[in-house]
Amino acid sequence: MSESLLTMTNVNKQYIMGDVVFQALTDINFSVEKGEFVSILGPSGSGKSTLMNILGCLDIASSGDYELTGSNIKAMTENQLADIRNKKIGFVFQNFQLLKKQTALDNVMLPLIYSGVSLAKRRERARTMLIEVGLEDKIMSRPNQLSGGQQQRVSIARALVTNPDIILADEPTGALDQKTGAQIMDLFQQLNKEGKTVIMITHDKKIALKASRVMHIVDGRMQKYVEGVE
Amino acid sequence: MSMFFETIRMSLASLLHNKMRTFLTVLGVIIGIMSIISLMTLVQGATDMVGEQLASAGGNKLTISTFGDQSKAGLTEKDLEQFEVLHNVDYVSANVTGKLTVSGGGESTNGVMVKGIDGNYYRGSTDVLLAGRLLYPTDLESQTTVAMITSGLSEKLFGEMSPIGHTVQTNGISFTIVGVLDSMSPSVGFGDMLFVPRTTASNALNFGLIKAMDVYLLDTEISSETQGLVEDTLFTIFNENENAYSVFDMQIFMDMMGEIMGTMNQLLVGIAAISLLVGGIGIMNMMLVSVSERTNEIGLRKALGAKPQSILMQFVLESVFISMLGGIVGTILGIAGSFAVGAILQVTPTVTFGVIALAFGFSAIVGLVFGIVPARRASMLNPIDALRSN
Repeated sequence: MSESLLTMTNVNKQYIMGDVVFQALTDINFSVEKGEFVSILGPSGSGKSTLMNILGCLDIASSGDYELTGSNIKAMTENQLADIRNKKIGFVFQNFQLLKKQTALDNVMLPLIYSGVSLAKRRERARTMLIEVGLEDKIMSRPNQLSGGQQQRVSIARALVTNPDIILADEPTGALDQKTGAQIMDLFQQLNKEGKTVIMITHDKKIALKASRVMHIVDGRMQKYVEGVE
Repeated sequence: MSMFFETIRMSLASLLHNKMRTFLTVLGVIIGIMSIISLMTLVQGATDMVGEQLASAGGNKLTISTFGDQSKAGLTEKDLEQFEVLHNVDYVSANVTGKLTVSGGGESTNGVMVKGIDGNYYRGSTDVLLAGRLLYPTDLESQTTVAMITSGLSEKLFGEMSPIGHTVQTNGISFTIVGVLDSMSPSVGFGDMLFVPRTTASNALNFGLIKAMDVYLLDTEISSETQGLVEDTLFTIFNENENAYSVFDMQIFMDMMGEIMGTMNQLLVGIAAISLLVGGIGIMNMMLVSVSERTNEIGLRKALGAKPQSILMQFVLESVFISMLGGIVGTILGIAGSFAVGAILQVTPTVTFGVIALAFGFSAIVGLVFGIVPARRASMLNPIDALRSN
């Protein structure tokens, strides 16, 4: 456990809405090691999106510690968080989140702009990533010229292009049909085999079980996944 | 640095994507800058023109009017000599005037301005001599009965015929015409005029003492000092009655005129600046719409590592580009417009580098000021909320 990529210790998250305090996460303790493929399974309203936001450094825990590759996320400025998101995390979103007016190549290049990589290098690395996810003939296509599966591949290429420590996927198959979803899951498994650490958040048990470890989140509490239900 | 160019590229791409909206927003700035530029260049042109006209009418002289009193009705020929020797005085020119009936060529005209002048009268004048000669100092010395006639009066008396060598009669005296002046000349303006030697007018025509005199200066910079000397001399001549005369400095009038034009310029530019303000509000409005339309994009950029200041920069640059584009086009159209209007008003607009620099500076500032609020709003968006807005 000393080689942990990330560790959460007693993480809590509350939202204050007027005079109502909503407890989204309670005492989350878990860690992910380098090279793991972990899925976090939970129904909607379980707190999995909140957990995803904290994992992705888009949000900060109300209490407890979150350590990501040696950095304590709590004590950080907005700019430092932006840097961590840029360099350590690759996001894959349910609805792809591609810029509609830009080509696949431009979309994949986007995070590298904020790393300060030169245009020539950005192009080269983005192209390589698109080829790696199997889109060598769609490099100059815009999102509306691509199928859902292809769009999600662009988004995965974008997540990989900065060579991050973790790929953080939020319902990556949620907007796809079953067959395409399965292909995307194959891609994640393949990436994991190549050494990428993948954390996937989903409400779909079948999808969650493609990971090597499944964590169950219910009512803001993390539990070991127990085989058998449903 | 590469980040900066990247931001410029992103800003331009986004502006080009919404061509119609960008154009309409730019139009607001164009109108503002155009009105400022055209007003400034036109008013400056008019100011320069009025200044030139005033200077040619005598920016380099003090104009003295004498009202006289019981003891002394005006200036004598002898008094004039006292002014000629004052420091910074180039020369003096004095005249006497009266309105008389003038006849000649079998015709007669009343209410003619008869002006007794000296040899210096035409040194500071731009009047146009059409035929014959001017009056000489010798005409004054010997009090000859020669005259210059204005072309208009000549026509009334002599028709198409040249009046040179003919005589006119006024107050019982016959004058031989030696020169014809263009009636359109600046000093004529009063209509029919007859110019005769001052000494002849004072004595033979009974015009009496000198009531008006111009003191021409060598250096206008020290006109107020010379004015002091002239006033002292007048004070002595009129037995310490300072109500018997007045001294008018054209330079002071010109300075005053300059100030009035300057104030008018500021006022007009101020009004024009309101249209630029409206243009700025247009930019702000468009940028606010743009930010809310692109909330999702902003959220994504932030999630992928964009820092607040890069988002801020992206949107501020967009607004500065719009504004500067408006500034460039507005400057060109403003200059073109001011020459078009100037042609109608017969004013040559004065286009200076300063005016253009001011317009550019203004437009950049407008873009910055009105872009900063929407850009700040964009930069402070919470990426989680922003990503959810789809």
